[in-house]
Amino acid sequence: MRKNRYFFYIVLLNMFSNVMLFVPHILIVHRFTGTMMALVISLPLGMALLILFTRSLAKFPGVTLPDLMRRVLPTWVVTVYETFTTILWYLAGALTLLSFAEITKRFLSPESSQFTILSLYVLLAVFVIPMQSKALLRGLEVLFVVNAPVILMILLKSLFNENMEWNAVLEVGTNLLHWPQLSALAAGTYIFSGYANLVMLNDSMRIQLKKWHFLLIAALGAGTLITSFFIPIGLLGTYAVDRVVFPWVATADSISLEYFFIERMLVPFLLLYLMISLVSAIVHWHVTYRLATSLLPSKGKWTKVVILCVIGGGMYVLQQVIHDEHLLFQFANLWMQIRLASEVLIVAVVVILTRRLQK
Amino acid sequence: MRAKNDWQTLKRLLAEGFTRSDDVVHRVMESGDDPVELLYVKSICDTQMLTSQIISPYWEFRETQEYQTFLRSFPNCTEAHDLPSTLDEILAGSVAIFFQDALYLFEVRHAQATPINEATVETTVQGPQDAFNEDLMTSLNLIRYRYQTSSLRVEMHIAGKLSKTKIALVYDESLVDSSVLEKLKERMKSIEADLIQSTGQLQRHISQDPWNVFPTAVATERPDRAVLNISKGKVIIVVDKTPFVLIVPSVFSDFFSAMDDAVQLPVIGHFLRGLRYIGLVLTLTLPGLYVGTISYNPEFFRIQLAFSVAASRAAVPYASYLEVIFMLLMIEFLTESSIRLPKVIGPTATTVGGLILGQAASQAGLVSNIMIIIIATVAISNFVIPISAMSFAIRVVKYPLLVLATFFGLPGVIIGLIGFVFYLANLDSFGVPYVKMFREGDKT
Repeated sequence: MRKNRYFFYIVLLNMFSNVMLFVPHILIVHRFTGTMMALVISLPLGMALLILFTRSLAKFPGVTLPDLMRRVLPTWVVTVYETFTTILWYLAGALTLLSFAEITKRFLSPESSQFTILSLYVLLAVFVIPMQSKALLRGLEVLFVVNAPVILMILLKSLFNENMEWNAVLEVGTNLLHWPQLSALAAGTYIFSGYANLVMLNDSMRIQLKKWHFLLIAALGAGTLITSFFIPIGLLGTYAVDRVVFPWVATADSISLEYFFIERMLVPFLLLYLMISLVSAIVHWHVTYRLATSLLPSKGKWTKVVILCVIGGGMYVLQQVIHDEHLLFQFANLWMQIRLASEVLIVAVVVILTRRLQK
Repeated sequence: MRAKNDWQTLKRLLAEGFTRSDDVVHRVMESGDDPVELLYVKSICDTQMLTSQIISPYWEFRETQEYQTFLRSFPNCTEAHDLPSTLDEILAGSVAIFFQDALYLFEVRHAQATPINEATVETTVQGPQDAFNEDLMTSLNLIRYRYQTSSLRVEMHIAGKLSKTKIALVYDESLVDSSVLEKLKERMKSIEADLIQSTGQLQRHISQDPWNVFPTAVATERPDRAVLNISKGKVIIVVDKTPFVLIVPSVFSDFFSAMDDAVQLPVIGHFLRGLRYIGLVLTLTLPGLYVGTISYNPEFFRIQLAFSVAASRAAVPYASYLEVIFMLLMIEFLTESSIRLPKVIGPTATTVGGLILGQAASQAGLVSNIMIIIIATVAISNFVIPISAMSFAIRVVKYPLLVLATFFGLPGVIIGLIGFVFYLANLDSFGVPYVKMFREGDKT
């Protein structure tokens, strides 16, 4: 466990931060028409991708995926692939930040302009991502270990809330026999996709996953899926739940901490998830940054500065393009589906590649 | 022949101006046909020893040759060969004895016997009470005495162009991390300072980043801590003429352990360590959180609490950040002045500051009562950190958090904390990561 812990952190980080990437909302939209089936399928699908990917990469410790690909595939294929993954990962971080900037403006500091909030987040991210991967992972560990117990407490507190309506949960939960929606499936598998950060981080951590590790991840993933989908339904109601864009924020606000000096659970919830989603965005952007540096031929200081400027500046362009919540939601939905497709592709490439390299 | 040349140079040098310094003595003893000359620095030589071991015996021998043999039989007498080392020896407290064809160096260093004192900076309740003192040999003696193992190595270095400070690296050869040792020696060689007078100065020269806020070497006055760290494979740097030693590599958690942790039962040790980390979080975040909640999100508090905070702030005519900055500066002034003031006046400052400022400021409506409680918490929990270098660093670090809170509210505090953690994670002490949650093979 000790050696694998960094792997667990990045996987769990995705599980925790799903709340901020519209996953509950996407799932809830289709709650009567196929989310249940999608959840049932996404568990084995997500786990299968995870297991195939880690099993294959574990045979080549200390090598990043692009380096591995360069050994076999022609350069242009690697370049195309890398460009694509760079954009994909960049959008992962960007969407998290945009969505949290939105939440911050709405619930934490309505007086500040979105530009200020976004700049604050982007500046932090741009300063942190050029760090060495190992140092970044150590920092991630500290934040994660400090936050995880409190997040667990929030989840448990909402699960055992007296206003939790289990009938509503049953009502939705029994809508099982529907053809699964692709978007729900994509959202469901996002929970497991933290492993994909290994494409670049494989050189900074050793993974030796055994069967019980996979079982643990599966159990945690199933738990995450169930809590992030059902708790809002149980607390907000079967129908009312899709009238909010951020169902978890409304859920957290409906819970009171009777014996604490802060009464609304919204406060610790927002602050903790601010930390978690920023760290998650930082990890995604760190991978983006490393992909971009490995993509470009020159490794000088100025190249790095330019990459960071593009990463940071791109956010403002994105913010102009995706200027309202509805668009953001649709964009995230679309991104999820592209992500699922490319994830299947990446895993397939890795499996075939490692097979061929081993011969 | 070379030796002779150097000896001549030395003589010339001596004539040219070395003796211009008032405490350099040059005298000639002449009983037969070949005179013997003495050259020494009076202030660092033991005159009594000089008289009894060098001057008086000279008159008891008839031949200079016999006297020469007599001197050579002493263990602290060496024959000089080249100029630089001879100069160094003279400056370190040797007498140069010029014969017709040879130059002897006789060490008569005046040992300033400083007694071993009790630890005053890092006190413990029931641990050993000895502290290092200014003398290098005494300090080494204290370490040797506690660590009686043959693999203990002492390596002498000299740093400082003008001060020629003796610096000893002490480590256990069988346990030490060789890459750390290599890096340390490399940096010791590259020191280009005129004066090295304290461990802090040395630390500044061996740590490479001048903008680093956090200390990467623990300075301690406790031999027991030094020995504990040697046993963990670390290197102790003993600097002559300071009562503190440096421990490298030192990581973040080292600054939060006191020797009490080892003295008390394990559970109590863990409790104490936990307490210090809570203190760290409080002292770092409270000012920022106060500004963030009061000025941006007062609705976050439970309604009764929000009312009592508002009532307490009712008389305060300005924004919360001014209040915080005002009180934080006051408390910093108070801390600074009580450190620098003579022991006799010290209590006056604390009374005036603590009582008058605290009570009067809130009654005058300049700051709220709750603010005073918060500031007191910040100040006290800052001093919970056992190593003062770290507690000073934390004193500085809380200001950026306050600034972020002032401009961005609570998200600013969170951003600051994340930045703080990643900044720490990016540091290393001689190649050893500064922050690591779970350290392999390090159980203390």
